Amino acid sequence: MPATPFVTSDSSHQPAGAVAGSAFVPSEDAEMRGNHAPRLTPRAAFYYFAQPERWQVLEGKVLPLLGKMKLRAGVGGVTAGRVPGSVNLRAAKVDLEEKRRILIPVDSVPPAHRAKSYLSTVDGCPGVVISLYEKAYPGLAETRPDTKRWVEFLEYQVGRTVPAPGEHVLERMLDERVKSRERAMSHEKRNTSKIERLEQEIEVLRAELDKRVEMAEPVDGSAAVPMVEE
Amino acid sequence: MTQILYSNIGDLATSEVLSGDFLLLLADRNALPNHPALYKAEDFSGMGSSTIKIPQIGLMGYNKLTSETEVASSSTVALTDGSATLAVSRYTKRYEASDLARIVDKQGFLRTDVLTMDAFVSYNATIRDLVANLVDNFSSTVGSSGVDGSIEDILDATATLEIAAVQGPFLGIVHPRQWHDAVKDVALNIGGAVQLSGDAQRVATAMAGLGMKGSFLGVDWFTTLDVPTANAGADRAGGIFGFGAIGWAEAPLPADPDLPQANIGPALFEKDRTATTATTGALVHGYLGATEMIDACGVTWVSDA
Repeated sequence: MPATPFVTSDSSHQPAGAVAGSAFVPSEDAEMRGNHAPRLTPRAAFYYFAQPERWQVLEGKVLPLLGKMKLRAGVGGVTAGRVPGSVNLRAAKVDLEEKRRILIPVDSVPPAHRAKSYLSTVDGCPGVVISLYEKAYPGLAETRPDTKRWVEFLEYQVGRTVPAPGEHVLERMLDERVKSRERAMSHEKRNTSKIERLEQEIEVLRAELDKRVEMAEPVDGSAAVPMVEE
Repeated sequence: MTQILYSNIGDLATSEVLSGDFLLLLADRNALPNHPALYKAEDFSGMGSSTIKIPQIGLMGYNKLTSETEVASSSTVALTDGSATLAVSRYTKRYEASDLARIVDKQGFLRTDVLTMDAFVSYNATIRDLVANLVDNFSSTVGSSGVDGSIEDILDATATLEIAAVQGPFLGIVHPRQWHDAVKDVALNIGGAVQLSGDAQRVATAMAGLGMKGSFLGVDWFTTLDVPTANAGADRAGGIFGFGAIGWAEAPLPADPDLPQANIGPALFEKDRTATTATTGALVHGYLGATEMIDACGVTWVSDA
């Protein structure tokens, strides 16, 4: 039974007349319980893919907004492979191509990141596969992004695995932000952070569009002359 | 000291006794609604394959008539088509308990009826997970990375769907973080017509908890933790879609009366006795699949996680 501390002072500093005591350290019977691994629930592996229309402004750059093809039988045409634990992507890849989506090879990682794959397992979490650019922490049920390296990863893909965004895509993104800024300036004047963000994004998109104008190659056509009876 | 103290009767009392009650650990337990925006494919029984191709056809007003002069020959019109592939795969779960564990089970959590209920809820949770894992991939997106979801995002999404000729009702499958960011936008923005509407007030004061949230701004909302992340976990990517965006299927397997099996809806529950090890298994099997069909029928909503 632990002793009840009634004196905490050191005898060398004992005021005259006070009762003497000794240092007290509480003791515990039980060992520490609990799992200190991250509390991530199982997540299937995936391949990143890009889509010609899906771009975003991230950290002052125009970058692809990647999707994920989950390598999980039953999702998006993925079927179970012959080897236990493997998956067959034949139908899923056809579907991906029909939707003009571009699969990013799992080893397409910037050399500076020194990794063979953009996927990673997590120690202590069986069945969990996360992005190389997510960070898992002990006891946490969610991951945190490694934004700096994620942006480097996305930049690395542009021009290598993902064609640069078309002029029409940039124009649409610019148009959306200009309208949104106008609305914010007339209805949400106090939302200065939103207005500033939109202005920064507009600047980034305008700069990107300026670069594209020289490279733009609109679809070929021939002169259209309507048949009109005078 | 002759007093009888609890601390001194270690042979007459145990340090702790299990309560007859138990609490369920936290989990997302809501089944997807039977919503008209979700396409449920036909039964796979006798199909000849575990994969079906669902055709898409440009009929019923897809091509308008062209004007021609009185005796000119009508020109032919190309029939536009497409397809989506839907494959079902085996999903299963197995608990196996020893006889001794079943003998001492005080709460009854190893009883067949309890495990059957667990099988049913888990089966529905799996369907929800499969469908929720598709909403992050639509080509059309609204919202911004690292920025809280807002009413403007929702309005942008419904506008995108309507411009793409998607027919309502729309279903939004989003992460609770996205939903509550939008609710905060409702609650904290003062003076807008949306914020002052009856719907918005109901949304802002709605009962908390995952699952169906009701209708707001022309969308029926469902929140689930299964909504994927985007941008390396920085964001959540929910989706708002109409009929034709996502299809799912299940392949029911009828229980064999000669075996200890029973159907729980389309799922198959069975018990498996291993006499040599004195253990009894409780298994549930389901054959499930989900796929994205017409990309333009949905919009992915990206917002801060």
